[in-house]
Amino acid sequence: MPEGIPAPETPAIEITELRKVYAARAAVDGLSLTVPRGCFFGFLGPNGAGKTTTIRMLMGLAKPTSGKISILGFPMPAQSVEIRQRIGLVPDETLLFDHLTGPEFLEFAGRLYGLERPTARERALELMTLFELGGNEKKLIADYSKGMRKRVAMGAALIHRPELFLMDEPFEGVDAVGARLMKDLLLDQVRRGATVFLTSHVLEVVERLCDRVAIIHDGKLVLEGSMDELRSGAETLEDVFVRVVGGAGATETLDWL
Amino acid sequence: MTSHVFASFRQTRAILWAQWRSLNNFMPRRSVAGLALGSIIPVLTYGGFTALSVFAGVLLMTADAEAIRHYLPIGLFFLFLYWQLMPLFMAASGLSLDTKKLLPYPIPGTALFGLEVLLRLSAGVEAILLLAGAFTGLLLNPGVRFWTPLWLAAFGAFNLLVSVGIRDLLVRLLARKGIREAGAFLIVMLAVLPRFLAEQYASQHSLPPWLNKLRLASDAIVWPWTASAHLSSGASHWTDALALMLWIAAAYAFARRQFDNVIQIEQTETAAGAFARHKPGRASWTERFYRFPGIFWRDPVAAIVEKELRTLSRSSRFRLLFLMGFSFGLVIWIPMARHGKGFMAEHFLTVVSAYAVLLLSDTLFCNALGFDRSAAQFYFVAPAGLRAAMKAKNLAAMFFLFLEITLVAAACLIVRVRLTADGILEAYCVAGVLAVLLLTIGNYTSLLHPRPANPSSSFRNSSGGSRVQWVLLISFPIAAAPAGLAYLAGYAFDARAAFYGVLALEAAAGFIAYRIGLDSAIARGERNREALCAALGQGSGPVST
Repeated sequence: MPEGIPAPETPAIEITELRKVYAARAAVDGLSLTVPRGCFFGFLGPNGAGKTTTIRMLMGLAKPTSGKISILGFPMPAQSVEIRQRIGLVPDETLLFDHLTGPEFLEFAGRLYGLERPTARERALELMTLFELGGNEKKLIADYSKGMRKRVAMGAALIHRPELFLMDEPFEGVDAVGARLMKDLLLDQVRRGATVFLTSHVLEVVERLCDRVAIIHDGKLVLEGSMDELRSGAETLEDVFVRVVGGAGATETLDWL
Repeated sequence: MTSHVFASFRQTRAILWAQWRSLNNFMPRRSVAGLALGSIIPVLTYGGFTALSVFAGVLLMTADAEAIRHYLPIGLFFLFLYWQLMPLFMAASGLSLDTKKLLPYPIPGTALFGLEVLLRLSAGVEAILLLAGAFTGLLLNPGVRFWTPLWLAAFGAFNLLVSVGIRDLLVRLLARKGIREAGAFLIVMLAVLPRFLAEQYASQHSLPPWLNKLRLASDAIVWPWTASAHLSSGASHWTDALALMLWIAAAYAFARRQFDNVIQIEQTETAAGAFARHKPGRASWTERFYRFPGIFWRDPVAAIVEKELRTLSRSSRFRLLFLMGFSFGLVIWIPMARHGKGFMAEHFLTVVSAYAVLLLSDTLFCNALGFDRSAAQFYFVAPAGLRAAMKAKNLAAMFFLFLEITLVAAACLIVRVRLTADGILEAYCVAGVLAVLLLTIGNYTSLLHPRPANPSSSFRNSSGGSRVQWVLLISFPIAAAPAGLAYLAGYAFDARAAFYGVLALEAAAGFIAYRIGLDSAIARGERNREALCAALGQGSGPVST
């Protein structure tokens, strides 16, 4: 094995005592988590729980206040270039360039990930077809719908065959056909040994796709385990989620409503 | 290592290719006439600088060694000032990397930095033209060895690095609440300080003791322009080469540090902003300030004016422009007000106010929907409608304009510039008439040629704005002409009453024109709503232009 390349048995993600403080408030507070390789991992939590902040720190888009992150055996952010080379990202706000067409953007992303230009171009066109964006090759991304933009972002995450996918609400705004396609693709990637780490508010999707789930609340990890470990009896993931993060109390109504 | 460099080169090429594609995709959407009109201003500007460059080249080609030794350092010093200060003066930054969108990719920091340095060339094209002229002149000068002018390239590299550092420092300062305005103000003041001091003490024929000491200390330093001039003309000593190398190393360290810090801001700004902005339970004076439109107008106009006051006050770009109109205008013209004679000195406050109107024109008058971006759709679906929105935006524009004039007048009184009540009244009246006419034109451009602008970006986005610049170039003299007529009337009848009388008539006519223009612009805007919303919702390429 070349020097500096971590052994394949290292976890896909290893987070130790991670903290992120904004203006004296901890968005992520002492989070420790291990995501094994080849796993479909769901990262859940209510709004404002710290999911996006965590995933932004994993992507290297936010700097931790303290704690350690290791991705595919590489320390983040010390070896962020090596890490980024091996991961596919779908952030919450798609970082697309609006004045490029879909194939142009995919080719651009491929080239930034180190692909040769002809390879990047070929894969870009194949991904356009795969994501049923054929016929929109000449359209600018600015003119794409939200679902189409997510599909292009997904294509950019796949183009270099990454070992790990970090995805923040990847199915948001995507129609049923597109979501099904994306799910199938991700499951296929996991079967070939890749790891998927995703956040989603659609618990049914997480329940159907994920092997393991972690739930955070107020920046702290409150539950983690395999799907079978988490559910007791006939409980659904939604029941578990509501039980853990609260919110099942009496529903108050507003006088004027 | 080699593969790293190769990968960076490939990535740099990919970024430049994507930028070229972005521009190429954007261009065909503009009409041929629009492209032609948009090209006139750059052709005139750069044509002028090319002529100046040729002139510099001819001078240096024939100059003797003594003249070169004496004048070239001065020329390079002014070139340095121009290169570094003009982007600040124009609140424009040229091309820069959109690091936020490139951060997720595996691009080494060195590659991003290298590209950012190269992109700085776009912020100093005029200076590069002049440098090229000087280089050619020295190259053709028979008294100068053929290889020594190459040192000017090192001077160019020094300037590029300094401009990266200054831009990134400004971006950082302007991203921090509280100190950003103070920081920008200090930089602006430092930039104009030499001229201010020169004007102040020119008449006394001697420098104050502290400044004299500073001058003596400065003489002991080998400045980069002096070293570059000596080296490029061949009249050098080894200390010049050492000094220039040290200056370049210092500029590199400065630029690199600032660039790394900016990347860190990009990494944290979104979430930090979300957490830091809201401090509930504090009914501060700013809150009372924002709510004051409710005293004069009723909703929905009051609500929209209030929203404009809030959003514009929170926009880095608007604050910078407001500050520039206030500080730069004041410092540029103050020496004339104190020592000068003639129109400028007599009508100092009016001149500064007109300059402020010009600076604020793009944001307040000609592209009023620019900061609303996709949210502008709301004006078409809300019951209040586009009319209330435009009316409120115009009221907010007038408010900020008069606030600017009030601040300038207050500052003049503090620094003891002679101001009369008549001078203050004149400034308000002239700026008011100018603004009403600009609003008449601006409502059209805002609704027919809207341009998305990023309120959190501290610098003006010059891409796609050439049409608006062209409109501004034409409309400003047109809008200023009535004020000129009023001055003429005042001089012809030798009476201030004639001046104010004509101005009042013009204000009335301007108001009628404004009302008619607003109706027409709104009707056109309603018909143009689809294109308008699409234009405001557009994004950008990998390089911020």
